[in-house]
Amino acid sequence: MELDAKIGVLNNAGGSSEVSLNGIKVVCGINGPMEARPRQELPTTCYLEVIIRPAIGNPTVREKYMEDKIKNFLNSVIIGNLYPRQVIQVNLQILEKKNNNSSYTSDSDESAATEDVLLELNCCINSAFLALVDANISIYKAFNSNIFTYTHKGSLVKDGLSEAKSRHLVVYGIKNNKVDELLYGENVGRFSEKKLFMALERGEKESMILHSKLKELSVESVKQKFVYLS
Amino acid sequence: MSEEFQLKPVSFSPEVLARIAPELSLQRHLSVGVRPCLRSFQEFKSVQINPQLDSINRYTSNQGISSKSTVLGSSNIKCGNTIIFCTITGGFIETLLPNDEADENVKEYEKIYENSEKQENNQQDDSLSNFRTVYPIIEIERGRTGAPTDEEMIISQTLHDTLLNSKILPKESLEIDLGLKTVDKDNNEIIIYPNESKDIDSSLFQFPRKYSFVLYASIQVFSRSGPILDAAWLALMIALKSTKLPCVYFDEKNSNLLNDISSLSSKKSVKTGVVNAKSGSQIICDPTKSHDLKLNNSDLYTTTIGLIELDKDFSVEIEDVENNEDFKALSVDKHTRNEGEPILLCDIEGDAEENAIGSRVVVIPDINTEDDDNLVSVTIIGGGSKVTKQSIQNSIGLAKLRSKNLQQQS
Amino acid sequence: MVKLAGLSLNEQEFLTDSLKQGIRSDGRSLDQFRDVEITLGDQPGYVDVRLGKTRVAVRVSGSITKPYEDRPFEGIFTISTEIGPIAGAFFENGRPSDEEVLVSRLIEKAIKRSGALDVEGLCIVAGDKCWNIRADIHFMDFDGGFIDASCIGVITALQHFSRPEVTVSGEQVVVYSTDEREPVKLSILHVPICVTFALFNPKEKEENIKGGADGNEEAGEFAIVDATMKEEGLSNGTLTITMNKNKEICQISKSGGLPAEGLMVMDCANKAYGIVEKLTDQIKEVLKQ
Repeated sequence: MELDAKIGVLNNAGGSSEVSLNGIKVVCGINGPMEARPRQELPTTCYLEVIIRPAIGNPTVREKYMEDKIKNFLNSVIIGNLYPRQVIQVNLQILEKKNNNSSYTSDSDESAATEDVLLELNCCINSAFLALVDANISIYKAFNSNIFTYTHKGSLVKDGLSEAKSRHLVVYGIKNNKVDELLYGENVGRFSEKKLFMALERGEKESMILHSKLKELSVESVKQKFVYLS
Repeated sequence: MSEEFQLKPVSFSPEVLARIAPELSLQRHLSVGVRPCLRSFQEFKSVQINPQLDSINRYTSNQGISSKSTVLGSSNIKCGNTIIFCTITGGFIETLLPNDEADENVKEYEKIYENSEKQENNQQDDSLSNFRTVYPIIEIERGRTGAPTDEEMIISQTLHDTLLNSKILPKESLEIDLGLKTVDKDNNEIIIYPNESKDIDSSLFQFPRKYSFVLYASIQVFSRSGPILDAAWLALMIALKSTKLPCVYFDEKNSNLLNDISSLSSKKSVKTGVVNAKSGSQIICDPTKSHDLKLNNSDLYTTTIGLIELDKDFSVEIEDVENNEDFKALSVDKHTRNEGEPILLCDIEGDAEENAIGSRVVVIPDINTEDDDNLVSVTIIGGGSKVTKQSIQNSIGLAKLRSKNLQQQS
Repeated sequence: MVKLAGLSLNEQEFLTDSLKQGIRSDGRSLDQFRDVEITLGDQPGYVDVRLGKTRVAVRVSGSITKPYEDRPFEGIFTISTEIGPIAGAFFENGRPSDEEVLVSRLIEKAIKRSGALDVEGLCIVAGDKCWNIRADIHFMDFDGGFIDASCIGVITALQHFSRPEVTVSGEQVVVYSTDEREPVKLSILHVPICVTFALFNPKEKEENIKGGADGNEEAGEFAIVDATMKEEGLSNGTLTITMNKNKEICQISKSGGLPAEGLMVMDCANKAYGIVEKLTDQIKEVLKQ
């Protein structure tokens, strides 16, 4: 499914974006850099706080787990030295989520929740990138996330179908319009080494395509914000 | 007159340096080919799998007393200096029937709605919803109690998700075939189970509700010295392997009591739907009879590998060190690696390694399959040193080797 | 709410002075409600409400569970109202302030306690199975009027939501997927709408104590409808009236220290009715699409 994104959707947040992708809609709002609470303060770099809220119910361990995944690589993307003893807060609110299971039993919810972790992460990461740009936070490199699946017949397709043999989430960092490095990869299911690298390669290509799209969007939003530039 | 001013070099003990400048400490160690924990780069921690604690298990102990025990399976492993205990307990919940399994009357009515789509769904027995997982709780001993730390929460969720994604616990393993407690001709109480008594009319076992087990794992970690995902997973796997599920029967006699007991249940857990007393009080776990928990594959092991690049600015001159007597005794990695390729470190341990290694690769290979598709999960966390194709390949190779070793041990 | 977040003394004085003259910074008249924009999601039960710059998203969902033991014939209806820092950095994560608690209490009173949702209709098997309807309110942007916006959101989402059909046969409960059978709408008994007034006292604090020799003394305090964040911060008290189209007051709550004249409340209730009528029609219109 096509990515649909808007930048600057919230007024109170320093930067914000709204992204719909694969039936999931996420709003990201970034607060900061702002004064840190003493407990969070780091002398040489910024403290990164990622908060994810689910569409339904209260945040649980599952959201903590997703927060950790995003925090892991975001820490190396943001130029923390520029914001010593400050905190940058990345808020992600998952709004809509297609649920294809209509059986309403607790256990099928359970497996769906685990299955959706990758899809939600995918959407959250792309949304976080746009919001970071909107918030004017300095980053070393751009990044975006793509998700691929191998079908049972062995073909590689973009975007996650639930009945796939394996699923691959790939996040690449992009510097000077070139793919720089693999920031995060989550591969689950049954797959071979060859398939893994094929998915990573495909991810490299797709992330350039997605990058040019996200770039267009962010250039547009910067133009609107700084009217005097045009 | 100008005062003489001199900068004195400051020196720290290795422990202090590892805490305040982990990067520097680690780089210095690595440049001479040794790790702060004195293991060589690709040496794993020794793992000792202790015999399971039979005496606390409900079904394996010889003592009659422990039939009151709620532990269904357990494990005790030692990994380096870290000790991990894992115990499996369980409960049961009522399963809501999907409408294609509902009883006949409804089915008749249903036929109009039956369509090809449903049949398609039945074929996909590979779908994640046909597999179950356990609910782990991790406690890392840290000298005080309190709310779980972020690390504990993240690891327990990782275990939960990984177990489900690796599809080793099929739904059927946890389904309960209810037995029946009844009286025979001579008025003796007997318990019969559907699978052991073929001559008994199977209509006896038509119960209106279906139940299945839910498993919980409590994992306790003592003297943690590095990331513990690998060891926690190993403990969980071994505990699951030893798990025996109780046989469960329906008590005909007590079914009248149900209203008196209903007030006992105070749990309102919605998520796991702890069985309510009204319908659950007649369902009883057999104190002696049990059966093994069936797993699709019990030889999955996670291996975490840290990636770090050598930084020339921090390196120590090799000659200075090589003459040192203590140093000679150590096995030193003469790195024969390509420029630009990061060093792979197995079983990250200690402050310096944990804080300075940003990039990690976590691999779960399936060593039992003949198939080409022999990887179950590969997680790559970048951000530290660059994760290259070569290093991923090497990590996968190491993980396979490690898994085979562990398989032999357990 | 958040007291005077980042307002300078000059700005405070300017805003109160102009309010006294009946001028609001956004050009509205004192009793004018901001324009409400209601967007329905693709999925049943998802509603996005914008009230000026305030934005609230509501997600209603349903699952099957066991009813509370003391209420075996009723389904469960919960409203979750947790304000995260996404709505503004002054909301702390996981630590609700007193004002936030007040917001959730008011929303609960306005919708749950007023019996807007027929919970008895959610019962499947008495004492054993019932529907648990859950409304999650996601506060996304704050510019005053959280209570009003969430109330509109929840009541619209409840009407928009539909649950799958369930049949009971003997002891078995069968749930039909949405393609098998048309899902069922929830039964909503009435549509309560909240209107919040911010109360202002134009005089010094002491002068507000009334009951002088002549009871006719002009009290002077006034109320404005649907305050923005700045106005909320400056106000001396709030009055929330929940009404439905039948001119019934479901809930009324006045907070803040300012004593208000009884007649003013009457006046507010009248104004509120006009707004409620308009909003109810708007909701109906949106749901028709």
